[in-house]
Amino acid sequence: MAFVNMARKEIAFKIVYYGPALGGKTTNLEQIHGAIQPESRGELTILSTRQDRTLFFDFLPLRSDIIRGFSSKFQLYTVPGQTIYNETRKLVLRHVDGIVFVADSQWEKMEDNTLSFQNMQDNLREQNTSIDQIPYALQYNKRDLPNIAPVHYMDFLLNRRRVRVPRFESIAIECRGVFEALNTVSRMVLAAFIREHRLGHGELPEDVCISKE
Amino acid sequence: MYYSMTRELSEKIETLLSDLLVRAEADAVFLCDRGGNIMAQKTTEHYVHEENIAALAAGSFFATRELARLIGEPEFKYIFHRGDRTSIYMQHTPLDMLLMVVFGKASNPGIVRLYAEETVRSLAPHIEKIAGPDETVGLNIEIDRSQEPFKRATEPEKTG
Ligand SMILES: Nc1nc2c(ncn2[C@@H]2O[C@H](COP(=O)(O)OP(=O)(O)OP(=O)(O)O)[C@@H](O)[C@H]2O)c(=O)[nH]1
Ligand SMILES: [Mg+2]
Repeated sequence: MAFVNMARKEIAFKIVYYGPALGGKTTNLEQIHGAIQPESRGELTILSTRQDRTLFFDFLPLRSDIIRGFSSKFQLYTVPGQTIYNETRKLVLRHVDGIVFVADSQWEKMEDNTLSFQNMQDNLREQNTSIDQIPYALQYNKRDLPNIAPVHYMDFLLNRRRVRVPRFESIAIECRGVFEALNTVSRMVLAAFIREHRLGHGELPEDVCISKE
Repeated sequence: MYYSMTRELSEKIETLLSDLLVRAEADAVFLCDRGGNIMAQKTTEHYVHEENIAALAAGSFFATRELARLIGEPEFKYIFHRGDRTSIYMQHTPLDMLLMVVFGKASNPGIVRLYAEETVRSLAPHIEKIAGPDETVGLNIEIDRSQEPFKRATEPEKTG
């Protein structure tokens, strides 16, 4: 849930990287942290087991000046993909503003992908929202591997809306398709925020008003 | 859905946090939401990675609440993490937010709890005013379309 702080001229959004275990979610955050302009990034927090599997979440705060006159904070989280950590996934998903769904392109992972996507829909529904209300993009990761499913087949499994959502082929370990997904989802989140905010009604307190249209 | 906080409201909340900081002789006081967003803060210490602190605090606090629910307890009212030099106190507030007090040897858990509970009572009516869309309608949000939200420090080399 976005948060507008007029005192600090800040707007904060929450973006969650969701997807099956070992799909490359943590890798996305590591690559962003490693490659982004240093002034845009905060500290990367990784909470993993000894085997490098995400246990609770990873967290990377980013800052952008994309909204004029405000500092826009985008808080990036990953969920743990392993099936047993569903309670944790629900916690991380609370108040989400946008999602990057990281799918594993290897043939043998197609069932994991669809189960994880279904799990995401179930968890959102439990929080009285739905995938139809949350901006999201798909990232078909590990395109460097030999045993991968074609993109149109993955679309058939995961991108089934009448109007398809943006989707990116990626090689997260080489930082390919990583910024593309991040920037697209960030823009979608901003667009959704503006749309919702224009739909509101009521009188505006003086100190909230920067300039009325 | 989103929250918004006016300057006036922010000042009121920060005044209450300042009072708590002084009276409890704490190092830092944070009010954050469930997602780890810092709503307001007052600190004497300087923490470089405040956003990470808030995200971890919110994560652990709300995980503990979930734990309470699973063992049949409606909620743990507050949580202490006791360190050798620095300790942390966390308490739930209205609107599913979290008040966190970081304190050192100058203070003690009893004092912190006493003042924190009082502060949450005083904060409650203000927190409930942290409102949804109506509060910022008309606010002109203008996006800079000439750039991407995030840029790389260096563009990758093109291959292939
Ligand atoms: N070949 C290849 N390997 C990748 C790619 N992206 C990630 N990996 C590897 O896949 C493994 C799992 O990546 P993680 O980023 O830890 O996966 P995750 O989605 O965070 O996994 P969980 O935390 O268990 O949910 C690691 O060994 C990565 O190096 C990719 O594009 N290509
Ligand atoms: Mg991970």
